[in-house]
Amino acid sequence: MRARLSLPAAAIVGLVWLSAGPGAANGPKFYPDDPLWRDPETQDASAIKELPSSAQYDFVENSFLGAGDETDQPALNTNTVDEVPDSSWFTNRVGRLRWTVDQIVRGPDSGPGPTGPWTIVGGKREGLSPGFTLRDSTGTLYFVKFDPPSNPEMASGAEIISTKLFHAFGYHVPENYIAAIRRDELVLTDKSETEDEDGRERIMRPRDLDALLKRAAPNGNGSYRVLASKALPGTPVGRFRYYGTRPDDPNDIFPHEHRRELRGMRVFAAWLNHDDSRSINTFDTLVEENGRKLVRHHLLDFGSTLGSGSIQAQSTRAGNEFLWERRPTFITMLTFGFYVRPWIKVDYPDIPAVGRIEASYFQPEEWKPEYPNAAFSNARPEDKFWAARIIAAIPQQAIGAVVETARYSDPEATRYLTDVMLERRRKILSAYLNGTNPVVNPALSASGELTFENAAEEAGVTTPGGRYSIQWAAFDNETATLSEEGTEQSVTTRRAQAPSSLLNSSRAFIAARVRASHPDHPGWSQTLMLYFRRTGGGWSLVGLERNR
Amino acid sequence: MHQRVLATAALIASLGAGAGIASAQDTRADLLEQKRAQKAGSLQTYEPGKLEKAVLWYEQHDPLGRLSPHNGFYAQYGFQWKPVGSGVGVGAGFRHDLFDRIARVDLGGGITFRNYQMLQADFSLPYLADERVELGVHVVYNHNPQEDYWGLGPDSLEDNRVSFTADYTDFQARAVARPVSWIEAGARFGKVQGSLDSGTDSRFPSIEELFTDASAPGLAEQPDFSYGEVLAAIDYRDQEDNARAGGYYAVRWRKYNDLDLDRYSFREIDAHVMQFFPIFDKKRVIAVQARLISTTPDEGHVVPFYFRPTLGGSTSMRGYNDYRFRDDHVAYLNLEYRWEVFSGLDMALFSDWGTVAPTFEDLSASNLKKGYGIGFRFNTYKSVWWRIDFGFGGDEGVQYFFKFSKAF
Repeated sequence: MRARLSLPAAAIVGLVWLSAGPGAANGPKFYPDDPLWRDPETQDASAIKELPSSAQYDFVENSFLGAGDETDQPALNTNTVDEVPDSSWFTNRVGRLRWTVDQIVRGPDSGPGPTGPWTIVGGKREGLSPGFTLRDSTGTLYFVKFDPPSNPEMASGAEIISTKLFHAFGYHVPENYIAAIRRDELVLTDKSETEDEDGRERIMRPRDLDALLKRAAPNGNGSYRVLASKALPGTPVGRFRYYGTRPDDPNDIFPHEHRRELRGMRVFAAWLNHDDSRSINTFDTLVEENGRKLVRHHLLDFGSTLGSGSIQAQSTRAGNEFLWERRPTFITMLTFGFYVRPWIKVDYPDIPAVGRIEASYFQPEEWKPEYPNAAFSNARPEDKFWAARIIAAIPQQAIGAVVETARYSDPEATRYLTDVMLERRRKILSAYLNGTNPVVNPALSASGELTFENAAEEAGVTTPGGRYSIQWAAFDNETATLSEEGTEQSVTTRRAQAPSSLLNSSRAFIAARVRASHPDHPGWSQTLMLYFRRTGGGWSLVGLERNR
Repeated sequence: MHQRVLATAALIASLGAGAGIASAQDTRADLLEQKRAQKAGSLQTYEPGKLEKAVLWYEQHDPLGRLSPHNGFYAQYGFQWKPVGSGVGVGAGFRHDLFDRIARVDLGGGITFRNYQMLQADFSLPYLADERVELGVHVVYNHNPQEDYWGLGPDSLEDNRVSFTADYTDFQARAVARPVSWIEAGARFGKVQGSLDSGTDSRFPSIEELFTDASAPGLAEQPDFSYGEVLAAIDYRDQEDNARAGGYYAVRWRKYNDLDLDRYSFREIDAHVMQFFPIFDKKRVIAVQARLISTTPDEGHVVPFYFRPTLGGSTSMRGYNDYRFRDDHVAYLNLEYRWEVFSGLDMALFSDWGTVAPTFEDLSASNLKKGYGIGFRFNTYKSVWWRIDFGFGGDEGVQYFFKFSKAF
């Protein structure tokens, strides 16, 4: 029997919950190993087959056929403290581990990058940008792309910046390097292949090489700047989609549109203008880990991020409107074009290496990818809050340092792009850290003092004036019932005291319902539930439910 | 190991789902492992739906690409040298690079539902000087059985529409140079052997029923012609087949020599300008086209009617039929306001002005034909692949044009 992509997911969605949700109703709310920080993907996936995919169909399905489950529900793969455990999809890095600037700048790179001479394995005639597959002097396989002649340094610069930042966020990405190659360093062998005009493979000749280089932007010194992407380890098994699960991957049990890291990716994509965040720019490989085969999910091809549209400056539509949207289309049609979409009028500075990106018109909530993305559409305030906190964890100086790695020859390009990214970051933090209850890092001391932080205040995107109300409760883990204790406390500082009656009892769990309020941020009033488990002489956070 | 997983899943299934399963787990990790074991016991191969299957098949097999390869036997919608208004047609043939991509040969033919026919053989050296120079020769035979004629001049009557058959064979040698991408210059030399016959369009009379050699010069006898041509063009449009910015300026001069009758030798000059003014990042475009085609007979000669330039139709005057007006001199101006509705569709409001005249001096505003209309252009960034233009104002009814090509 064969299956559609989402059928097994539909059967599983009602049963599985990584955190303490409805699925745990028949057992305890919290297990002894909660919160999990590593999703136990224990099954062997070696029977998996390469998944066919079509960029055209992906557009049609997501634009017109309603891909994915649109049920408004919390993400399914968060742990009990509302975080994403490490998995084949995501690894906690800058958000949880507070990476240094150096770590962020190094990104996924495992070495200094490729060196010539380069032996050409194959050429790429078609596609958006010209390129090669080649091996460097160490025999390592790289996919190499060039910048368009109209915008030298643009696509490679955007790709290197976005690669490092998506890696810091926690995603699996390839090692991408900026390198310079000269025509005389490119070595053709009798195994170098290319495709002729009709797609038939044949031996590559010097003339083919010259034709490819004609489409690339040369450096002044006769070399070509390239983006060299190191081949990912493992066996390719297709692309992942932003909805459903793979029916042939036993570890893939959370529908992708309900995965926190894919929902929250909308925020990262908005920051970096990754409008091309769709299935075609993902890559699954089968890798061996602890003696079994697992599917690892990657993001790749960031050439159409920031101000780059890969082969030209980014379209003004990118990030502002889907490829197809009914309402503006018909308004434009019926008004004979005298209705002008507002984003068309946005001005961009003429910096070829940057392309088109700006921060004045940018509004995070209005940002859109090329076409609807089921995971992005399902993103709830807590998903966006999660992503915004990760962005907030990136130090400001790291952003400038990452932009420096693009090695723009025009200092204005570096300055402008850094400024734009900082301003877009500020807007994102302001929108999403204030979009829900911003209380974070709660802790309950042995003496019963609750302390916490406010993510919006920490990020400097709110004004003073916040208030907090706390209602304490006893919590029965077996029945998942709350029994309120005392009256609601109201505080303006970020600390409160638990009732002694709760602390002195033999109860294993204490809960607190925290509400925040701020005159400028109605989203703060969303409920935050905290659960603490007695551990030794103190209390440890075992549950955090934001916005449920 | 795989068998053990299956056995575990089967055991769980026999115990039943629900409370028993959940409470049997001691840890969250156990719970998740159990769910994954369950799935491992019922893995399925992904099965695309019908639409996805069709799209995947199309992308994998590329049927259009296979039908019309760069090298090999090909078939295609339409064909080169297919006259405007000749109806739906198909072409087929064989083409291939030769001598390690130094030369190229193209042998083919085409036919339409209105029985227009074409056969051609072309041999060229298109890749000289790093593809900057092309030399070539061709022979083309055309059988055009339903050509339209209304008489000469701007006052020809709508009711005088007739049809005629034009058969001709063109032998040509060419040399074209493109020293840089935006400049083209070249020369063509050749010979045309042709003849006219009665038209086969049953809706209209044949030409000899309404016209004579006096009102349709060249109708009685058709000599062979030799010709020579020089051309030069500057082309800096952003996209040749869907321009939104840039311009095109071309001049072509051609001399026809009557080889048999010493009666129909003439010169022709064709000046063609297109300019595209982008607004709002090319989401709006003002497009302008102006063209002057002027023929001048040698002393004591006349220009045969079938070589005279025409006005009317989908690329010149959309309020009128294709070839509606014909004379020694033609001038027209097209103005379009185009707006992008979405990335796959542009619309256009257009206005056309043009005239024909027996002498250059008679090309005046007083004889202007005017038209206006609206168009829908389904496109990619690079080309218009389907166009519907509705032309009004030509006092001969609404004209509509379904075309698989740009207006200009």
